[in-house]
Amino acid sequence: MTAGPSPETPLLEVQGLVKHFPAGGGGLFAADTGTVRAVDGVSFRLGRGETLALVGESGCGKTTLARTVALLYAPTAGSVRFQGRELTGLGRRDLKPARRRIQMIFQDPYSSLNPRLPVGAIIAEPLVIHGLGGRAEQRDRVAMLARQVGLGAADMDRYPHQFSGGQRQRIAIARALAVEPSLVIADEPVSALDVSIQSQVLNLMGDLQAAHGLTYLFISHDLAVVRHFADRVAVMYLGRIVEEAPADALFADPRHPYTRALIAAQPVVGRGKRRPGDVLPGDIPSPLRPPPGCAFHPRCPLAADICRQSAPALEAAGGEAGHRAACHFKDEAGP
Amino acid sequence: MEPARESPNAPSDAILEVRGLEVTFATDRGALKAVDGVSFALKPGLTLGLVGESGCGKTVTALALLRLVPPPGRITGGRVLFGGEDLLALSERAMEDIRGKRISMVFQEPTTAFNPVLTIGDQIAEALIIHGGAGRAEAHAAAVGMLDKVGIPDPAERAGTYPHQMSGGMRQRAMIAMALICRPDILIADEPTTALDVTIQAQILDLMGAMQREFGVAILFISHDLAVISEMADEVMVMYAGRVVERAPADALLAHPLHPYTQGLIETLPRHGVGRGRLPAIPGTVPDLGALPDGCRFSDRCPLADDGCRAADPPLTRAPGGRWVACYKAAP
Repeated sequence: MTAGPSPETPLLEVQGLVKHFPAGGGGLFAADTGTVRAVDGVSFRLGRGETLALVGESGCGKTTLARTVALLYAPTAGSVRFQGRELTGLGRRDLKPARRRIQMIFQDPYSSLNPRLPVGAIIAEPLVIHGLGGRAEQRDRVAMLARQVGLGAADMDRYPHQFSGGQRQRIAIARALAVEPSLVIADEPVSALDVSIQSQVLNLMGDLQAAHGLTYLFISHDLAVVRHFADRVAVMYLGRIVEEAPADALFADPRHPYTRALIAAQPVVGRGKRRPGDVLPGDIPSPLRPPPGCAFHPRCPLAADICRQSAPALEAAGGEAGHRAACHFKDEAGP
Repeated sequence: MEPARESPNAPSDAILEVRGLEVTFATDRGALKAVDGVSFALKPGLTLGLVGESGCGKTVTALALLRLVPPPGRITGGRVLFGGEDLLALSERAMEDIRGKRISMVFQEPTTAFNPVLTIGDQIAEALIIHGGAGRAEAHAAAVGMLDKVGIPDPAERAGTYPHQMSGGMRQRAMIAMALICRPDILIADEPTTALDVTIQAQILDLMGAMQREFGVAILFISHDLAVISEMADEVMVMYAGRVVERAPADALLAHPLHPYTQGLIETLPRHGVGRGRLPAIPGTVPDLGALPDGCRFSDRCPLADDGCRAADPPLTRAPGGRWVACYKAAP
């Protein structure tokens, strides 16, 4: 008898994942050729029913990592195990069952829905692709999904442009849930929405997680949203995880100077007018030419010789289980 | 109590005063008032934060001050008093002399503000040549000096680069340099950091504060992000569906919002101490100007609304502490 995944097996286990893209193509701008090291050796585990947030700024690789895990990109190296099964190296046919169980929600509900299909057909599409159920069953399932995300039966015959951004994101969520995924990868799902609509969609995602036992990989640049929504947080910088921890521990005791800088830079309501303070200097470096050693060292207030020479490993930090940081000075006192 | 329709403020120290501004868009669904009776004042060295969601009229308000409302929009009422004159009554030629020189603007996306085929230095210098009558060499030197002030490293060298060769943060610094080169009295900043990463946003917010302290410029800071507004504004004005629903000193407004919409905006924000679980939410959707509810425009989403609210739109009324609120239910 082959053992199924034991309860301790994480739903998703990513080991040493690398995704590089060739940059430019020679020719006119030959100086720009090289390799974009978008994801450069990332490892993490995601348990059933858990929400892991990936945070970081542009070019940190969070979206590439999400899309590689979602099987939209083939990894350059490394391993992705889902429900105990290795997915890298599988062919199209063998990937199909996993593709059903891993669904994605995108930032822009204006471009992620087919404008020529009525909403009912959009939500039913994954059922058709995966050959699940007959016409009548599909129709019933679509009606149930619509109800769950707060859409009405009359909405099923309307087209995406007739809906507001928040309603479109509800449609995208219903479509993602149609094929009963276990893992939902949400890439900035509320960033394009108005403030008063963001909390509606976050509440809906929370309700659906509780109802269906969903596991979320939640990509966001908004630390306030992440702190509210995630169980664990992984902070990325230039293709690597620089810190990972239970959400409370990350915000209470950040061990990486970049995490501290991100938290400090986040504007907060009601803190009063801004006083010029310790703002992280410099620009985010290009993933085409990451700095040697620790990639953060050119902007880091703690940088020393060792940081310019060797890249720190992601190792246990702080007091809490599951708290890891990649910094030579992670055990020094806080700021 | 004075009638609200006069003006929520008539401070003698204001550099610019807007009274009853109205902007109407002619659409196939009829005339839609995107800005409906908006009044406020800007004061030297201080920042008025204008916050609201998409379609509330905040950007159209800003464009109207410069008479740059795109068709089919038209300014259909109100006055914009600046230096003793009503800008809405000036000739287009006189207005050209105001734009960029006395009142300048920075946008969310600096790429669209710059000409892609001119160097950064030439574009900043050009503003000075046109408005200040400076010579080319003098203007170029001033441009380099301004790039230095806004924190661009190697300014003499960077003046010779093109907009696309700069990072988003550096381009935004260059746009601020261009906006300030003629020493304007007023800077309108429309979502100036929305497209930037959070660590770069912090740099630009600090830069804007430093420039305000140095030049004493009055800033109208427009954002959808209440947290950014909270860190930048001395006074905050909240717009909803073309109207001002609340205006107050920033600390008071954020600590004790009077309007149910402002209360909702603040409560729905995830923040520390609120804990996991469901967030308070404002029900419904951001309103469509073509399908507004009767009476108060927020009444269909408001937890306090009653028949009175649905019968007549509440006027913006004075409340204690230099505050203004448009709500029948607001308890001061």
